[in-house]
Amino acid sequence: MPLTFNEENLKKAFADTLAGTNIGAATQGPDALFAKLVKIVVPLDMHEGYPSRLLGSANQICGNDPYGWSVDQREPTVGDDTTFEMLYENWFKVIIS
Amino acid sequence: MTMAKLSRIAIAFVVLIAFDARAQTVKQASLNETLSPVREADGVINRRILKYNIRIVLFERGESSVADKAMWRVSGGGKTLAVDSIGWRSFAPTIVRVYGPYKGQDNLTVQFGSEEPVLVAVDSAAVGRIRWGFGKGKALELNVRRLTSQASLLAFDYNLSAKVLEHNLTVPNGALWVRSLSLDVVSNGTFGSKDTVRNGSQSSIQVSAHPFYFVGGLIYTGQLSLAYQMETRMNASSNKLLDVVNHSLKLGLQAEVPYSNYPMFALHSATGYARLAMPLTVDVGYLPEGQDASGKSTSSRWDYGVRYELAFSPYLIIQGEWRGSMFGTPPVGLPSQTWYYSVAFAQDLDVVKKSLGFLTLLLGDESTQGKHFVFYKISAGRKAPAFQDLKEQSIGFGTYF
Repeated sequence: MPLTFNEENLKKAFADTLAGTNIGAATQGPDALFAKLVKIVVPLDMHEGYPSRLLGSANQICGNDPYGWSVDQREPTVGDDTTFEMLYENWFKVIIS
Repeated sequence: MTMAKLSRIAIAFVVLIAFDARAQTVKQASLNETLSPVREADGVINRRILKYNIRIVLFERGESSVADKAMWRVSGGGKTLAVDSIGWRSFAPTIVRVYGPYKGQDNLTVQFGSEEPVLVAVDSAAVGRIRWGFGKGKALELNVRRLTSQASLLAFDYNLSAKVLEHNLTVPNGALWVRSLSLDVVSNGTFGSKDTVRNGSQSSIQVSAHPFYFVGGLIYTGQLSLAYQMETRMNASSNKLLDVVNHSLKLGLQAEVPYSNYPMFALHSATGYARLAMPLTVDVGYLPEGQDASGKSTSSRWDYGVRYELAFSPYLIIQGEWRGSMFGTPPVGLPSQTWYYSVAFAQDLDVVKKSLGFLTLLLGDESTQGKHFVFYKISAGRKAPAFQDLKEQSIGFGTYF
């Protein structure tokens, strides 16, 4: 059975998705990252592909056990002022079903 | 007409608009693709399928009736289409997914209850459709360095990249997939005083494929590109800064090495330092014979290199790079094989400001964490396109290093 949708599981899945993109700090949970801007955490060389990395990681993490959720094929828009909390609220929660 | 009458008309108009807005449930609708896991008899997920649905954004109301499929009607091509199921979750109450056989359908409309039908937009980001997006991934980064050997001399490094066009290709169903094709403009180089730095630039327009691979729980990327590249370097005898020394095709391959960033990933997990753990990146490029500005033929060449970063904390980030070039027929004055290396020790400017209070007075106390760096860089050898044999030590400030 897919894991229940609740705030705790969603945040854990989001942390796992971020960690899948190679941000080790995300394994501590996303709350510590929430206030940080995406573009100060992701080196220049990886800016370009970061939205694709996020969607690819969400597919691999959330579409498999233990989550077993469906994932809309939409990349997030990452701007200079995008925080990880914005990604969680405006992108991650919306593409998962 | 009196002011009182005008006010009453205005109020009535506003009420009418508000009433009209309340009467519509659907704010916007678009054709959407969703990757859904399929559980086999043993309960294990071993494949995922692409489902098509109409993704509906509601006005700010979460009525439970939106989850009732009998309330929705979908039409396309003059026919009423089936509604297989409805997806609606309380954590995203303004999003509803209406699932059905909508793959490849155009001119779709969706209707809630007896409300006005709403036209379904075709999502330009959908896989399998031609999606061209302009200007994604544009970046211009600059460094300024002061050479420690000759303190009055400065060098400027730049790195520019911009996606002109992009086309999404596939859905990642396995551990390896090609995400997109793109047309990019890239340029990088160094400018500084004559004979003291490797003055030169490389600019190209390229078509690239972007593979992704998922290994050991982490995502890695690569790039395969076909470019037309122009290289310039400073001509010391004529003092010409942008002397075109080669323009030719270039076939390039770049890849991130799986597992190579595990030590940094583990360290960041333990310390909470929020920075992407960069994998070891390798690249190989082949340039066939080209021409210089005067039309003279230039030699074919292989370029290859590796780059790695150890980001221990904001106080110590070490980046190392090694590059080599091998000529088919070496130009006069150059060996057939050349090499170059650099090591940069950097600190985040934010922590430097905290350590040196007077910098806060000069630069302000607004956080610039992760945006600006100060660094000390050592480099030696010949690097394309200047191939000037130098040993340099420099201190600098920049948005990359």
